[in-house]
Amino acid sequence: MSRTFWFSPVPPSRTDIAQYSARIVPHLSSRIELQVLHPGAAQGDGQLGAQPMAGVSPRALNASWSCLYNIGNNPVFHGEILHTARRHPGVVVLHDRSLQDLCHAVLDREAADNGGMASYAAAMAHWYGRPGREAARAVHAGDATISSIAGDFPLFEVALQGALGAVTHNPLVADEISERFPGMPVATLPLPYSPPAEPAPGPPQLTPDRPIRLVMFGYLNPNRRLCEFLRAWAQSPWKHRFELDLAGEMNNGPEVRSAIAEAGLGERVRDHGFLPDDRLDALIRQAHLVLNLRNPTMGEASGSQLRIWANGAASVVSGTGWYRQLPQGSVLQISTEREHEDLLALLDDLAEGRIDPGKVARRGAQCLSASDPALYAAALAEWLVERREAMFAHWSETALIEATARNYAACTPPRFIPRLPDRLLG
Amino acid sequence: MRIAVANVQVPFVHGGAEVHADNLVRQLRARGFETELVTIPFKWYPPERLLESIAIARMLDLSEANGLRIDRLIGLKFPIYLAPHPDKVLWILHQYRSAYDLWDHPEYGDLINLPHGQAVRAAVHHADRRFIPEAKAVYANSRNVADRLEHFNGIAARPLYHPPADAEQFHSAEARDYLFFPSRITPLKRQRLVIEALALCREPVRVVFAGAAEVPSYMAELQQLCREGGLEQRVVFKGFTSQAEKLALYAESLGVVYPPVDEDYGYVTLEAMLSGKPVITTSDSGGPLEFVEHDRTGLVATPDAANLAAQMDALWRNRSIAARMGRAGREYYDALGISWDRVVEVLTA
Repeated sequence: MSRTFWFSPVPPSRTDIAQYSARIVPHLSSRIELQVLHPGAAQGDGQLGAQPMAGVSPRALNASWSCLYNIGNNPVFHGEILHTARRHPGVVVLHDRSLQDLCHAVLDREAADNGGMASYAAAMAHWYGRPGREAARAVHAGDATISSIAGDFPLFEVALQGALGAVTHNPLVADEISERFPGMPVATLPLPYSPPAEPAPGPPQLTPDRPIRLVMFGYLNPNRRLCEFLRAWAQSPWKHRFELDLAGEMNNGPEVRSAIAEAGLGERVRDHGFLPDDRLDALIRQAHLVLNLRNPTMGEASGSQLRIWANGAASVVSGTGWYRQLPQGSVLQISTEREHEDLLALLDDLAEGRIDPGKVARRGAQCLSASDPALYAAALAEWLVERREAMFAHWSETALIEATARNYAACTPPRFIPRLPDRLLG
Repeated sequence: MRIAVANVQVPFVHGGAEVHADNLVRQLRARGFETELVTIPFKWYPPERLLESIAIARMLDLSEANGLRIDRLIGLKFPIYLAPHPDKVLWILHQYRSAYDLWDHPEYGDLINLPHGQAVRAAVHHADRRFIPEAKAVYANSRNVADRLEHFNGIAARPLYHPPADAEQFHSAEARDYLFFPSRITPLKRQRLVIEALALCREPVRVVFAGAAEVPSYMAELQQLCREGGLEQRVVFKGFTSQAEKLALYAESLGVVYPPVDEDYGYVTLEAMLSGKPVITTSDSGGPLEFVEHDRTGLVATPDAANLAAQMDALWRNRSIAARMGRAGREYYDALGISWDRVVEVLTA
C-alpha cells in the first residue's frame, strides 16, 4: 500500500478541523502510511509532520494510495484544499454541511484564473436551478447574506462532485449526500474528541447570591445568534443575574458591540478574544451554561459541542441539524422558530433554579464514549481499505455517464427543457 | 461471413498499428471474408478525453450495417475493443499503456503527471475488466501483451503471432558495415540509448536509422548528441524509407539493433529474422525477447549504454558469429509457423 495524503489545516491554525486532525492523525498513522499536507506556507513547528500542500506534484498525488481532503466552510483554511480536491479525486471529509462561504470566496476567483472552472453563480444554478441562480444574484446584489441562504443552498455538492467518497459525522448529511450523489460510498462516523487530561468537575452550583456565568466561544459569526441572545437578555427581568464571557473571533464585531451597548450590558460582557486551549477549557469549566447556538447551522457536527461535554459543562443549542438529534437531556434546546421566546424562558428557568446544569452536563458527558479518536481512526482505516475498489468503480461508472450526458447536453438547444417520459420514471 | 475489424486512429499518424489493421483486413478479404475496417479517432489528453472515448466505444452499434448483420467484430485497440457486439473476438495489440505498464515509468508515463490521472486510470482499468470479457475469445498479438492483460486485469489471453507485412519479400545479402535500426524516431524506441552506446564502442561501429521523426524535438536531441559525440560519420538518419529501401537495408546489414521500452510485439525482430540477421536487444524490451535467444539468434544487453556498446562491439568484431546467429534466427522463425493462414483461421473460428 502506497502513501495516503491527508489534507488539513494543522495546529496552530485556529480551527476545530486542525484540532480534529491533531486527534486523528497519530492513530491513523499507525494503520496506514500517512503524510499530512497543510494549506498555506511552511509552518515552522512541523505539527503532525505536515508539509505544505503546494509542494506536492500531480505525479505524487496520482501515485498515492488515497487522498483525504478535510473540507470546512472557512475559505482561509480550505480554499486551497478544495481546489486540489476538484482536480484530483479523493475522499472528502465533510466538516460543514454548508460550504457557502468557501464557495463564494473561491469559485469566482477560480473562474477568473481558469475559464474551465465554474463560478459561484454558475455553481448555484447548476446545483439548485433557477432558485439557486436567483439566490446567488441576491447575494451579489447585497439583497441577501451568505448566512441567510446557507441552509437552503449549502453547496456541499461543489466539494463532492467528482469525489471518490465522503466521510461525514452526521447521518442526516450522509442521507443528503446519498440523495445528491447516488451510489457514492459514504461513511458516517461520530466526530472524535480527546478528553482533557484532568477529569472535569462539573459546572458550579447555581446559587441566588452569585451571578450566573454564561460562555460563548468559537467563530462568533452572525449564525451563532449572539445578537439575538443579547436582545433577549436585555428584555429579561433577570438581566442583572447573568454575565457573559466571549472567547473567539467574530466577523461582525461592530454590530455585536453596538448591540451590547444598546442593551446596557457593557458591564456584564467580557470579550477575551481568541484564547489558547487551556484557558478556553478553564473558562468553559467555570460556566453554568455554554451558549452553542447556530442558525442556520453551517457545521454538520460540532467539535465545539464535544469540547463542552469533555469539560463537564452544560450547554444550550439551536434545535436544528445535527444538534436536533442529540440524545434527550444531553443539551438544552432552543427552537429556531420561537427563538426569542425560548431564550427568555431559558433565562427565567436558570434564574429561578428550574434547570440543573450538573445533570445536563453529566448526560452530555455520556455522549463522548462514542467519540474515542482511536476507534474513529480504526473505523476510518477499515472503511477506506474495504471500499477503495468500490469507490474507484463507482467513480468510473459515474464518470462515463457524466461524459455521455455532458456531450448530449452540448447538442441540445439552449432553451431545451429535458423531461423524462413517464415510462422511465416508474 | 461479414467481419468488422475495429481499430482506433490518431489522425495524421500512420504506424505499425495502422499497418497491422490494414494487413488483417487484406488477409481476411483474400480468404473470402467480406471485411471492413471501422475506426474512430482517438485523443488521450486531457485525461477526461479517455472517458469520453470509452463512452463513444460503448455507444457504437456494430451489430449490423445498412440492414445487414455484421457477423463478427474483431477488436484491436483501446478503446474500440470495448464496443459491444454479440460475436466479438479480440486480438489486442495493446491496451492504453499509460494506464498500465507505463503508468509510473519515469520517462514515458504521462497520465500520472496530469490532474485526474489516478481516477481516469482506474476508469480505464474498470472498463477493460468489465467489457473485455464480453468477447467470446481474447487473443493478444504477443506473449508480452497477453502477460500484461493477465497481470493487470486478471484476463487470460492467448498470444497469436502474425507475420510482418510482405514477409515473403525479406531476403539476406552480403553484410556491409552497419547495424540497422528501423523504427519511428520516438523516445519509446530508445534511439538515444543506441547513440549513447555508440559513443562508448571500441570498434568503429556504424548505425543506420530508418524511420520518420515522430517527435521533432527528440530528433533534434539525437542529432545534437551525435554532434557532441563526434559521431556524424558513424550515424546515418535515413528518415522515412520505401519498402524496397527497407528490405535492402535489412538484407545488407550486419545485424539489427532494437532496444525499445517494453515493446508489445515488434515487427523489427521478425523482419530481422526473415532477413537472416541477428538482433541486439535489451532485457527490458518486451516483445523482442519472445524471439531473441542470447548467443543463438541475437544478443541481449542490459538496458544501459555500456553493456549495449559491448554487445554491438562483439557483433562487429565477429562477423561469422553474426552470420551464424542470423541463419539461426531465420530457422527459428520458419519453425514457429507464423502465418496469416493460421491467424485468420483462429480469428474466424
